[in-house]
Amino acid sequence: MASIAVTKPAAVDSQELLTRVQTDRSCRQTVLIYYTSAVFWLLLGSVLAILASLKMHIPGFLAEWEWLTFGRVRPAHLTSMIYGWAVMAAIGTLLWLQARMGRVRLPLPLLLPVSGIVWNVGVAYGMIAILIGYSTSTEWLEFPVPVLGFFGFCLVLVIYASLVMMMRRKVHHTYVSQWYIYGGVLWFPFLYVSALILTQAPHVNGTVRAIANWWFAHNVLGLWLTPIGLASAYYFIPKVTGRPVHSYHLSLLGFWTLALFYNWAGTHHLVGGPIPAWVITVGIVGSMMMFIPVTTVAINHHMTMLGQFGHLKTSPTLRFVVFGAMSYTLVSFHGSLAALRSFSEVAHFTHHTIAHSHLGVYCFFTMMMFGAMYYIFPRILRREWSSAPLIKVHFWTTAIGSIIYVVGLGWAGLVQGWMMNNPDIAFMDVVKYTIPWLESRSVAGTLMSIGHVVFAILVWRMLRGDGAEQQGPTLFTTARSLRAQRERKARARERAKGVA
Amino acid sequence: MSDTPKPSNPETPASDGEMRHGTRNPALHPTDVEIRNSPDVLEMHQQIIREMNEPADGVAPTPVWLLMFFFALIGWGGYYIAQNGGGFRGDIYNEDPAVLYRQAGEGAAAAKPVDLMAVGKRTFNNCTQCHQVNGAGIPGAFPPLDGAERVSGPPHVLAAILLHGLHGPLQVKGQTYNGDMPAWGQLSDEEIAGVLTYVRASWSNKAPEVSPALVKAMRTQTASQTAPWTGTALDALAKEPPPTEEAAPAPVTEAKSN
Amino acid sequence: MLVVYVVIWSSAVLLGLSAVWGLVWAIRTGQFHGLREGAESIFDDGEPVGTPTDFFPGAARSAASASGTKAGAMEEKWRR
Repeated sequence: MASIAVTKPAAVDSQELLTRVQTDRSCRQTVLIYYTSAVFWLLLGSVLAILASLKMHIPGFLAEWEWLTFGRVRPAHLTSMIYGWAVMAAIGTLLWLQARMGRVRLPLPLLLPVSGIVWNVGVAYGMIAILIGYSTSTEWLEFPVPVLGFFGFCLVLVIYASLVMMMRRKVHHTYVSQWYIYGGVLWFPFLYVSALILTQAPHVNGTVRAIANWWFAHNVLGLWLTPIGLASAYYFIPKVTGRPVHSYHLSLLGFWTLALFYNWAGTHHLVGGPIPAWVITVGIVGSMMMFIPVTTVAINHHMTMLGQFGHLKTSPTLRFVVFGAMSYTLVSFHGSLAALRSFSEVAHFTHHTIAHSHLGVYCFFTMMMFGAMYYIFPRILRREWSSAPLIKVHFWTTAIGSIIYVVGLGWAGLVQGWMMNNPDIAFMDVVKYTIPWLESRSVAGTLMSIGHVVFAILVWRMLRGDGAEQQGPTLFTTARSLRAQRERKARARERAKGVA
Repeated sequence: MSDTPKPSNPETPASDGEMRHGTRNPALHPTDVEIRNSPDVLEMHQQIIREMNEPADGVAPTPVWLLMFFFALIGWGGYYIAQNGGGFRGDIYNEDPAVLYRQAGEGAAAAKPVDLMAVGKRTFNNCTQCHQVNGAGIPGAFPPLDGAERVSGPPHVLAAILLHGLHGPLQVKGQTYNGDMPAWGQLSDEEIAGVLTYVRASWSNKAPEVSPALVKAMRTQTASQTAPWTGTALDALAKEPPPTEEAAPAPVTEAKSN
Repeated sequence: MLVVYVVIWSSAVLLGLSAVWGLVWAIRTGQFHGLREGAESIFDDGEPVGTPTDFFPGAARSAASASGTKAGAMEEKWRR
């Protein structure tokens, strides 16, 4: 008995390491395909974003080609960022996270990489359709309907893989990140299909389309990107700092209240619109109820980080993830309050909304995905990142760029709203007022794009194998943890000798 | 720990200093030995010590203030839905509770008459393209409303202009304008009366309001007219007495205007 | 049109039911018990509580390469 007890920790140790290594290995092809494609769409989306931004204050810029007019570039930017970058990064992250947390290998080693390629084909087809003028002109659903075939194929595989990993998991406990992931994976296909029917079917007309459209657009953020982003935060913050989540049961409460309330929130975008009052009222109440999950998440993330801020200096992942977590708190509180009628009357239909959505999709979700990629790439490729200064350049350009973007445009939007509500001010004066701020957005967008290019270079060098090769099964094992491990074993050995 | 050590274990601390209150009989207390000999003890306690260092992690209780806040929020949600929910009816579009319950048919008697200034201000959005928000018009192209003699003149002339439009030269504030004004007969009597009341009481104008009944009478009187008015015809019309208004109908509700 | 209604409503109801099923499942399999262990389920002996796991490149390399031969040997074994 005694001898078993002595040798057991060491045995468990290597077994667990081996499992972890095998899990990471099993994710390699799939996650690589999803991640590298995501980075490609990020770059393309950035180019389109700069084009669209420039056109806001230089209307004649590249206007002679109809496929580069604002009406096509802007939806192309949005769909490239959402379905190309955000969703592909999300799928890569969620598959890796599930394999990691369940301590199982990724199933479907052939079909899942294929699904990544199919998704790319779908996005490329949709993007070309938009640029040559075949958009559905429904915001967030601009892709032509047949793209659903490509997406559906991939989503079915992702759901299947998720359920298989759920069944085979070696850890009985379902960690809070897994809840979020299962939620997101099951909700998103439902949202997409329902919204597609309710906005594109010929029977459905008028305001119903508007309701379905905003229900969908808001839920993509709240029931798909948010769960994946929060799952990453709930995994990476504790994992990187080595400190468990501050209040675990609050985190579970947060998940279930998100599931309960978020779905209602979308219609607050239609304040003042010609739809029944109760639809909007329920949307506003749903948005305000989001204070509950958001508060729990905010408490958890920030209390877990409390006293751990030193890690921000040493960990690239943590920098991005904490920036994302702080933005999540901010964007959610702001979103709840902005849903109120009194605020909406001002900020509605202004640049304020654009600033808000970038605070959500960029400052929260995109930064979270950067953080996840900084953690996951080295582990599946077994290489370190090639350059620390480049990572820092990436962080500071994207962070400063997005702050300029959100603060500038957010303020300009508010003033724009006040001016538009004042009948004594001519509309052209309002437009003229916003121009300097629109120029600041172009500057901010350029900064962010520089960061994206730097990140793409880092990923490219990672793929080429420029970074130092990983030394042990546990990447970035620290001297401290290794010493602790050796000491533990030595102590156990001595005690075993004593017993014998 | 299945294999209970034998009482005769040589490591039994029979004369250990820590047992000041007499030696415990190892036969009666086998666990003493087991605990001492178990190699897990240190390991186990290290686990405990490590976790005690961070007692808050993972199990921090939900703060009471947070629960109170959540309950307050849910209470507010219920109140807000009750106030602004429109009874979950598909035909109620206005979230303002005062309007909402009247629309729902609860207390039609409490209907207040139309606020012509409010209706007019909204309807005036149709006019600002030419006459501008401040009623100054555009010199040489569109005549001003602010301070124009006709605007403060007989109201039935103004109603006539709106119902059928204008064409040809027109003298306003000493300037001659030669243009067209479209007919606005598609607006309701209330809206025409409202916008007239609004322009007659805005900026430097201080003329009394125009009733929907007058507009209605004017609409009936000129029903057969198809051409727009000209300046001379208007001057002739101004000398005629206004049409006789019918008895005012039952108080108009604001339902439509919202 | 009827088909659309039926599809939308039934899928919405199914989705709601799946959430209820998930909650019931979680309670019955004890997912809401042992929350401390739950919070620590993402850690293991190799990466225990109290160990940071992410660094800028180079920062931890020297430490990792000095980690002794056992890990390296395992790495070799795993490669094959």
